[in-house]
Amino acid sequence: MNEDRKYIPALTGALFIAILPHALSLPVWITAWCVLMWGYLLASLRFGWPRPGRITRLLLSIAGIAGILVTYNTRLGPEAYVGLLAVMAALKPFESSTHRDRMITAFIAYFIIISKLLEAETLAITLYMFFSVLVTTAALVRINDPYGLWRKNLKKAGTILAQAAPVMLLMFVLFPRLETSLIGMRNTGEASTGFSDRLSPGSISKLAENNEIAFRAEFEGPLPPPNQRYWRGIVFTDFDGKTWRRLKTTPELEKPAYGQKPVNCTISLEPHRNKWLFALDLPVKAPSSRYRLDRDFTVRSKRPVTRKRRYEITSYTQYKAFAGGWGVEKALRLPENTNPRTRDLGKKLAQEAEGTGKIIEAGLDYLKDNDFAYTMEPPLLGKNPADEFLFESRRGFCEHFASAFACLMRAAGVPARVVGGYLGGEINPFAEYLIIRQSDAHAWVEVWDQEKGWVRVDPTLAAAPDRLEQGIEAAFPGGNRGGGFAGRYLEPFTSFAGSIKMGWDAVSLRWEEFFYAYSREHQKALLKKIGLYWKSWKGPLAALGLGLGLATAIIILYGFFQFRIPASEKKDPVKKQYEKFCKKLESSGVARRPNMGPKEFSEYAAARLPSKREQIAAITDIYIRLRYRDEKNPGTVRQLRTMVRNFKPSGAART
Amino acid sequence: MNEEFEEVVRQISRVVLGKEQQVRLALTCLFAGGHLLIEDLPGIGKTTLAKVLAKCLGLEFQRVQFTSDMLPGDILGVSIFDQNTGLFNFHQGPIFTQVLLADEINRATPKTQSALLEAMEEGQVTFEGKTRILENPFFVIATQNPLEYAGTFPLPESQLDRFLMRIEIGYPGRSAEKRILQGEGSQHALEKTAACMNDTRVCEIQENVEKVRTSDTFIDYIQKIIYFTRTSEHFHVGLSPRAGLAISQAARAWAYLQGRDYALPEDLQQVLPSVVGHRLRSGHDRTEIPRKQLMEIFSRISVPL
Repeated sequence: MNEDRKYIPALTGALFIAILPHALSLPVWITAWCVLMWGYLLASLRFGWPRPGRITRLLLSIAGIAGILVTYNTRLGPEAYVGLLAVMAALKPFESSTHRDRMITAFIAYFIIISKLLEAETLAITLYMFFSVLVTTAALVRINDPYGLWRKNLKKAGTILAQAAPVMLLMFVLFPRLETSLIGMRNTGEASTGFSDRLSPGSISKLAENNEIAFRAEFEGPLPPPNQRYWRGIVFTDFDGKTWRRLKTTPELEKPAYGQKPVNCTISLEPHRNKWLFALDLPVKAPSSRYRLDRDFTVRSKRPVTRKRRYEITSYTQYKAFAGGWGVEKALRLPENTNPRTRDLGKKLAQEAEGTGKIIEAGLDYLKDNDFAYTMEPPLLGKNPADEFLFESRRGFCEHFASAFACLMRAAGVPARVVGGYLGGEINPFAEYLIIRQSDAHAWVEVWDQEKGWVRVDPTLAAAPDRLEQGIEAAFPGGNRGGGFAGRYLEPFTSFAGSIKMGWDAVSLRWEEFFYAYSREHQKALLKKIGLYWKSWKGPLAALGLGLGLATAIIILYGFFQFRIPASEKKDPVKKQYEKFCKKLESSGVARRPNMGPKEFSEYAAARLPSKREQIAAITDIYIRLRYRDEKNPGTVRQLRTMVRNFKPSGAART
Repeated sequence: MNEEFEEVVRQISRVVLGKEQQVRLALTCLFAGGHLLIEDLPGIGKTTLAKVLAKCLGLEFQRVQFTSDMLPGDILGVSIFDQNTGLFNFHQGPIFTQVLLADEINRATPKTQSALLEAMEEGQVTFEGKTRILENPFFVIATQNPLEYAGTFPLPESQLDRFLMRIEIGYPGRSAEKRILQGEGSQHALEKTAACMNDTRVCEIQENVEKVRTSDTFIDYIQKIIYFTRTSEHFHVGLSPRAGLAISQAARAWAYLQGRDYALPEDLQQVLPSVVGHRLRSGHDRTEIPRKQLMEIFSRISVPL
């Protein structure tokens, strides 16, 4: 009981710190379970409450596993494993009576820390992980040195980690970079975030409430002006009268667009579990062989984006995009029996105006002149959304404008499609890059002009020109979204917090730059620079093994010279014989603890090997005579040698 | 174990029930020629143990109850003017005895404490320019309450060092306590205790203890322990050479009590916590280290083969 006090708080603390970053992603009951178990455990230390016995622990484990099975059901992905780990980690400290149990508990904590790293690799998580490893290592130190001061345990753990740092760097540099995720079982069942492959009224306004970061964009050179910050993602061509869909198959682009003013941009994309990538309108070519640029000028990844991606991409801000006229025909399809009023208006526009440019202008004018309102809270639309929006409600979000306008253009005989992506972004004042959030999601229209190719038209701007400057805020009447009384008075604080947030964001982006930039190619290049070149990943792995082996050898050699037995002691025949005797006993299961005196060990061994009692006693007796009575008789030494040689403690010891 | 000591232990255990290990340690201390400090809560049997030890060994016995208003003269003695002879006559204090029980030593003021402790170290008393040799054997068995108790003057480390060993008695076990409550081990039993030895025999034993052999390996073990206390972060300061000698002496006495003329690591392990417990302070907060923890720390030192 008293002993537990020395270990349990340390171990529980380490587990708690390790599991804390998981707390948000784990089901609530698991978090509650952990808090409950550990709370009870610590309280039982404090107040001497009874601890669950073996059977109760077993029942609790079964309950925990059952809970996991019920919660995760068939989705036995990494989340379920982490959940299981957490459930068991909550119970493990109850069972820490032996040194082995305590060691296992510490290793569970390490395991939990690593499992978080599989999920997220942000700077914050990494820093936290170092802290967590420090605490767990200190707990590990404490297990082995229970009377030390916690502060000193921490210090020692810090020293150990500092000593491990060179090995860590070596591993970072040499460990083979895998192009795919290290753990193949990464869950893909989780819901994707951001855009989906269909666009219907309401799908973007839902996104607008989401303040999560979609991606960050750094520019080589100055930022493009606000009216060019269109981030192209998905092109919706298929229209059934209500919903816009991506075309199922899009061939790869053969001839890049013709354009001017290339802008180089590095994008750090947050995982969204879909395949599309975002690029400033209009991308020139795919960033690498892992991606491809399609004929609708969207960039696609060959694998779903399940972890952070960083890619460099070049775009033209002024361009002529023809793609060989691909997709023009499809961009005219309009289902016969839907949106009749829009179709009539389209036909009317086509009769009145001449040429594509004039038709577009007339369409935009219609939006400008008829009191359309840009709002986050549009009324629900029924079967013919374009009709209802254009002629009745006249209130909508960007997807309403884009889809109704594209529909109108098709009715007027102008090929049109809807493009989904983001518009604008927030400038980070510390490092001059853009942060694009889900709330910056936007939809606009592309129309086909014989001479100019696909031309971007943003009908939302016709009704809400503020959208460019103010971003999404323009959709909220009265300006400031978080405004009102509190907002005004809290402003100094929110702006201070905001600048801290921006500063932190800038730092973590730099870190990611360093961390992710070290890809397989970089590794190869670096190794080549120091004169090492391998064709496959086996090379670096071999180098790593060699490096670690060398480090281990150095440590062993150091230990050997530091702790080696002096030659004078080695020559001691009495010692040698007694050691032999101890070794023989050890191999039959009776190990001498280092603090055992010869007599104590003799009794200890005899109790376990009763059949050898006399022999053990005799050998011990001679050893004691030689060693402690200072009998200097060579004959006695010989006698000891013979006895030890003839001593054969076969058979398993009674424990 | 030697039959002679076995009998002594048996005798004492009839009065102090269920505390054989402490009795053995106390005997070890006295045969090693050292002074003994018994520290425990009031009512545990400190005084009884001291009394029965003296009686059983057949030694002359004096008891001084230390109080805060005591003066050195109350222990050492005073010179009183004799009107008949016109001279100052020295009246010996209680220190002129073979076993002095200094009860609750930490209740006296430091001045009185140091008078006693000087006598313990020197084996003599210097009073008004005249040196008087104390009896041989001369033992001080001091008892004290744990330091946290009110109205105490804790002994400084330098004076604690004068005691070869410090033992704690601890609560009696369940069955021993039952026997105590049934009236066994009472004052009556103490009075019935017969002397098993006398002062000459005690001196003889002390001489024999000196002859107990300590081999190189054994000395290595002591050195290892001392070195460990000096380098480990568990201790505020390490053991002094005098403490090393004390370990050796106590271990030899223990070995002799076991009927051996050579010391084994086991002997050392038995006496170690009692010999070093009052000489070491925790490296973290300079408090005393609990016995159990001390044993755990020392159990990490391997016995040289």
